[in-house]
Amino acid sequence: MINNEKNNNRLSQGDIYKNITYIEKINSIDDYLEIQQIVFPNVVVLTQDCDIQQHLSDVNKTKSSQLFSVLVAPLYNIAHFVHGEHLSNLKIEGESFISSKNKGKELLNTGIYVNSKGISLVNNEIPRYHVLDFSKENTELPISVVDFKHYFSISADFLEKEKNEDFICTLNPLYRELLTQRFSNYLSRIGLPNPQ
Amino acid sequence: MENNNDSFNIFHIDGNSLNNDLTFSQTITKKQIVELDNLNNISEKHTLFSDQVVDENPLETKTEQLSYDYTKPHREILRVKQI
Repeated sequence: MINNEKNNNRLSQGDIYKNITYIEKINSIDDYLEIQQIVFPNVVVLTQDCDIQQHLSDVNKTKSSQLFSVLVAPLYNIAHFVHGEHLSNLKIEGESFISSKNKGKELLNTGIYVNSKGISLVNNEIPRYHVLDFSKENTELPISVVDFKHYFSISADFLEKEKNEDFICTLNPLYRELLTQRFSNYLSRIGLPNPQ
Repeated sequence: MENNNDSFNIFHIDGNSLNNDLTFSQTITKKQIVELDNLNNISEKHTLFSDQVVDENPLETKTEQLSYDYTKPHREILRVKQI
């Protein structure tokens, strides 16, 4: 499922990094800059790999194939996620998928019991979320949930040059293609208004 | 600065680095932001949640034990002096 080395020694789609910062806002007050940011423990790169490759091959940055940024999405620990507590530090409450032991099913040998929606979550049947089960992989990552709604952009050059030490692993081709296909499906959904 | 979030990171206060046991000689309020010399000097990060804010007595020394889950996203506010 994963490779602990970078593909071709460069930034790639499916790369997972730790401690990635999203800047919310910057204010200039007197002689100071106040920077409000969120630090995400883990994110996965979603941008198409061919676009990243073209960007990195243009060393002089003179072609329109340049990327200003790549898209990434946060990975949440599934144990926190199913309790709706994965964003508790931000005072945001998520949906609970928890069930009692006699009414629910155990979540991927975690000892946590979830309801039927939790089982749909694990089966990747909920369009907004994608579960990555790292439990049998040689990695520090927990079983994680990608929330497609929380994607954000980050400088491609910053990831490539400044965050090498925070690279964790990369998804193998089939797994990253499934992830990004589901992401594109989620983005292209059409939401109809509720009937009046 | 508008900030509806009560938790933020503190890197230095009055020039002293912070460890897990906070000791400070002045009250930290919800909106107090600590000055950084530059971003490269960040070595320790801690978050003070609103329910851990001490009382209003500015001269009282307090020791607070922080518990923080770094496996979840967290918000930081940095204040950097412009050169």
